[in-house]
Amino acid sequence: MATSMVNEVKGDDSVPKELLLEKHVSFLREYGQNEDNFEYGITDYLRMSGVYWGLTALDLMGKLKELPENEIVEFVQKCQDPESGGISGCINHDPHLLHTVSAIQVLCIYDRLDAINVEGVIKYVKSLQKDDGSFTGDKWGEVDTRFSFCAVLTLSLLKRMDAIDVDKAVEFVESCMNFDGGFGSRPLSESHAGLIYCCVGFLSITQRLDIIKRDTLAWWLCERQLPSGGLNGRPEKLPDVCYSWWVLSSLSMLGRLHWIDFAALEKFIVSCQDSETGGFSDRPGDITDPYHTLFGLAALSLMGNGALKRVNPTYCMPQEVIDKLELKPQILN
Amino acid sequence: MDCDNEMLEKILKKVNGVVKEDNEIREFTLIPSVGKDRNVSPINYVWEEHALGLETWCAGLLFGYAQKQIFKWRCRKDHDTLNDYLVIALLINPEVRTFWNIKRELLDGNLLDCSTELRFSRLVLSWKPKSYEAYSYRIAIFKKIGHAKMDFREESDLLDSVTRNTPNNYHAWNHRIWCFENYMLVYETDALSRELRFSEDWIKTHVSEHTGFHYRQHVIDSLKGHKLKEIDEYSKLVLNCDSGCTAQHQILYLLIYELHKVLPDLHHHFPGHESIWYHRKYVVHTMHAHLCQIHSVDRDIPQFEFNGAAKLLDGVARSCRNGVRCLKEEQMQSTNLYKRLVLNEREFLDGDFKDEDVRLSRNYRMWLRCIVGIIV
Ligand SMILES: [Zn+2]
Repeated sequence: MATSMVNEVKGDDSVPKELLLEKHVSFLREYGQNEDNFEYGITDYLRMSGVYWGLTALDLMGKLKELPENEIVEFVQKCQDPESGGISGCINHDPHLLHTVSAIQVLCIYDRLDAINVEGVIKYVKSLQKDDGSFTGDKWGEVDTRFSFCAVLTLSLLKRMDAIDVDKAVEFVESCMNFDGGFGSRPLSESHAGLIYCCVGFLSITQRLDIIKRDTLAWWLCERQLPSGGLNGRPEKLPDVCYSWWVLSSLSMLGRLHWIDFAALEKFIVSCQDSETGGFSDRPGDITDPYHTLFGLAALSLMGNGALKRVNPTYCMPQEVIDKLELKPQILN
Repeated sequence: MDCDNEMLEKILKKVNGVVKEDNEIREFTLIPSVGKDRNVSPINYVWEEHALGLETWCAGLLFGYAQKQIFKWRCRKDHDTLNDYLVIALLINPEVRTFWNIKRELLDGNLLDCSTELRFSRLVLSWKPKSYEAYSYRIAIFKKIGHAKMDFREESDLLDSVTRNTPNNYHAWNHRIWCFENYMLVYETDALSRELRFSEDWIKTHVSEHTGFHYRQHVIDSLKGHKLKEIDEYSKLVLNCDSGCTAQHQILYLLIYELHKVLPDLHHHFPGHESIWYHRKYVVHTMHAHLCQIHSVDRDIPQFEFNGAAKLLDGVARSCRNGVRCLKEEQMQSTNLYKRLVLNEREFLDGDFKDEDVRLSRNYRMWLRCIVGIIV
């Protein structure tokens, strides 16, 4: 039986040590232009989230204008289902909360909420709340704490939190808490950094961070940092750039950001860039994608990188957008 | 071989033929076809092994074609044709929710056979064992036929092969928890003892998989609401209990069993594994919280005559649940069990640790003090 050390990734001399902003801008601008790419060809069902990842990443780098605004807004419009009010990941696909939230985030960044039927979106989110306060992702109905987060994220951006039963929603999220202070995807599920971000973010928006076992959870979160500097999402798993964001943003909302070794994490994230193609991958040397590019940049921003705009830990959007909307998600000191 | 629509239809028919005719089909995979000759059939089917493979060079084209056809056929009446396209598209990319939704619509209209669908979703899982959508679809089928009709041997066989091949598979273990809650505890009489045995064997053979430990923790937690027939066997194996340990507190027997039999063995044979240390945290934390609870029933909480009283009561209840501190802490700390627990952890931590365990034991000691409030 091998020891846990095999789970570590060693950075070598060939990995990047500087932030390659220009490379990332062209990577994001050109992503998807090459239609022959197999992965891209079979993933258009999540195009809406892809737009959010790319757009937010570009905005954090001050390059929002690199993507065609009107084309994107039109795309969002076409993805709204007139019947349910929900928004899909791509034209022809079914609406889903995951894509609805991405669409709303995109429209808020552009300040173009008027482009869609906002009342329809509110009706859609409201229709997905169950009696126990939980949310399903669409009308077919699996429950997941991700969807609770998506629901309040969407409604708070639309300033319509009154459309749902917030107390019940909080009760459900609380029922997903484990002894280690973490949260899983539903009651009884294992704690998982991605879902912890969703639940902490949910409680930040609903101003109920008081129900969290703050230090117990922060303890668990900061134990995610490995000797390589990178963060994993569960014990004995490999480090991954997207977990840098999920763990870091949760710690930020809990006011425990300083429990992480910034220098080591920064070194790990920077080493996950591809100096030729641009973009970030999950680990050094892997293929880059917009998803890890956003979360890599957002994590660097949260650690105060001066070359990037400030990111809001709850919304994973530029702070200036959140300020303009006058939103004040709860952050503990 | 030119890949026009006619050719794609041919491949599509052949794949669907195999999926329909081979009742025991167990495996699907995409075969990387770098530099392969495109003039031979991209389908690789080995009947003896009930395994089907498709070369990647045609998978992208086939997916794009099937997707177009699906949207074209979605509203028409020819369900069989529609389902043929769905089968291909979902085999190539099982994460497309919309395609599963169309299957759900067909299922709702009784236009698909449930057992065929269970077989199909299993085939998908053989190739993408982490597919959230495939597990969701299985649950949708069980909801339709009624949970009681689930063939748990089949489900358990599926989960065994999936979890053996993909470590820390979050969705697979969530699925097992779902089966445990909705089938095993409801329709079986020996579920608890079997799952306790199963999970003990599992963690001993997969020590770096925290997900398996979590499952065992959940099974142990279930002892709070369900009587375990073999509880005497466990209690015989462990120390004599505190007098407060009645049947209602059978979970304590298991926690002590864990602390004295399971954990020492794991720490000894598999040094340096964080998951084992996390399991130890679970055991000690749960034991501490349980003791805390026994000694803090509501009527014992003094009433305070000031505005903050309600808040204070909330705070007490909450912090007890958190196992941090409670009003009756002193009383709890005077029990034999608590004293033994502290002594046990102290002796354990005073032992000899090497390499990674030096760091992990230091963290654990700090965690005991700062989070649980046990100073050793
Ligand atoms: Zn990742």
